[in-house]
Amino acid sequence: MDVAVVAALLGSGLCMGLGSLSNGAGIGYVATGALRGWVRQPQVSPATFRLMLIGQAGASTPSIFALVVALVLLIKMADPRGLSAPDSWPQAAAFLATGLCLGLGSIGSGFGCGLVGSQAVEASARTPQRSAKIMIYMLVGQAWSQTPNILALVVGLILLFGTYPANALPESITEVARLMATGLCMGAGAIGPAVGIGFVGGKFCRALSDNPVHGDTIIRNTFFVGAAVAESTTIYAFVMALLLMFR
Amino acid sequence: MSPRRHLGRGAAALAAAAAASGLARGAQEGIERELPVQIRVFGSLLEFNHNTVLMSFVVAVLVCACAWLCARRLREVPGRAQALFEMVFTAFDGLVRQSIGPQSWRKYLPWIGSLFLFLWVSNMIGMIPVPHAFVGGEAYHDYNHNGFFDPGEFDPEADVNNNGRHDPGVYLPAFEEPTADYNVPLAMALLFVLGVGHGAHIRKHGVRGYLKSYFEPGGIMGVIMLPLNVVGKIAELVSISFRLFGNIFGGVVIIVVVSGLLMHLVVPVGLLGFFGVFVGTIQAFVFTMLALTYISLGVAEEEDTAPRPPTEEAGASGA
Repeated sequence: MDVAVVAALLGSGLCMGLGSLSNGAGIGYVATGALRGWVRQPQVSPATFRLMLIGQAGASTPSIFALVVALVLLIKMADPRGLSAPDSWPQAAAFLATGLCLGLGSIGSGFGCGLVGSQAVEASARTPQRSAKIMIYMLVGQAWSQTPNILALVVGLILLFGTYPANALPESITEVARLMATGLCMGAGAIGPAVGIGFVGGKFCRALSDNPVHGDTIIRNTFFVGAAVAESTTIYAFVMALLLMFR
Repeated sequence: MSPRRHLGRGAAALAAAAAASGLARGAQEGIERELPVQIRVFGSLLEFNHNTVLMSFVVAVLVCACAWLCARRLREVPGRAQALFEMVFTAFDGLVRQSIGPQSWRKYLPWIGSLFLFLWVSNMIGMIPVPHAFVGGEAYHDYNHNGFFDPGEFDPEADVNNNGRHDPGVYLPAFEEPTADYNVPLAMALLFVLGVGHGAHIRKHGVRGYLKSYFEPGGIMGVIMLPLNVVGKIAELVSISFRLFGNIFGGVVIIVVVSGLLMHLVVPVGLLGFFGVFVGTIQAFVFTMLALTYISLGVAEEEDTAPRPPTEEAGASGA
């Protein structure tokens, strides 16, 4: 069997497996927020339930990205035109790096989105009169928590659709190392910031319900600045991955 | 008629449309659908994916026509269509007002509202089951039933103008989401984040104030942070456009693959309901809200942070 096919199979499995690793936990965590909220305010349970479903759908985006890339890897492996050089080691490294990049890159966002959703559902049950505003900021917080995952998707797609020379291993070891490093850099660099933004977004939604008296401009600006600073480390990883890729 | 029966009828129509759309999608699977038009501009080759361009125009015309038909006869007691548009308008009215501030929010409301309507209809237009077709072409024997002319299928009997080859006629592409092509989300992000957002920032604070935002903490730290701030602004564009593209394109890929595995049985309807209606609506809303957020970061008016009663909030947020 050709090495690129083996790498594509391995990358596809790693991508989907790692991608759904923490996303399930995050989606479940949204439901715990709904349960806690329901205990506090049983009379708004239909609204809580609706918001829980929206939060869970928003939180499932990272594993959808992982699923799509895993499927594209499998399709590309089976398509004879998609695989120009089946015995090329750089091509194999790119497939494996794509899988690792998206798989690792989905771990943080999967849990971060769940953190935001859980806190937002609970906050909405505590102050039902602000639930419209909390829903909007929940979606913004989840979207922000997905930013590292989307940067990983961009790097993964560039790796996946690149063209690579048909070289055997000894002379292409630097190429292989470079491509693997690209995937690992972006994938691992996306884990922490996404969870961090999830913390910020979740506590922001709680702050909206805990202090409904004060204008929320100051809270919102704190959220934006805090999330942007938490995001900066994933941007370092993104810059480093691009430098590695287009050396 | 009771609201419950309305809902039932709407759901039935939606399910039928979704099922038919799944079939239409399945029939086209594995066909080269792109017929890109290539134009040479300043020595570089530009490819026009006319399917995407055409579908964007279809969506825009659809939204404009609906809005025009509703706004033509406004009544004191709104009808159904007018009530729907009023609901959307009221929701975005409140959102834009809260984000931008009470002085200049009216300027941004048309941008934000039409952005949402365009993206919303774009994300869901793939559910309308219109297959691709050639109009006004000559007949041919479609032996392999792929809907396209293949070299072996030429029929001399149908060669109307006797030129010895098949004239395909005008190609009308099938309905598919324009947002599943990365060019549309990128164009929207460039227009709204760069054009409207940064443009409004420059208009409000001047070029000096705008450039100052790249040296964010100020002082010597600002010089160090300059490259990261620039990359951060680019990352805004990349993330907002790839979020929409990834979700819609991912939905299309998943629907095609799962439909193929299940021989287009019942499950694709549920998938279309989830990825078409649910994810499509949420992602259109998220894109709009993020665009509004980026605009408001540049132009937000100084708002008083004095305490205000919570009751005011309940009436203001109408979404």
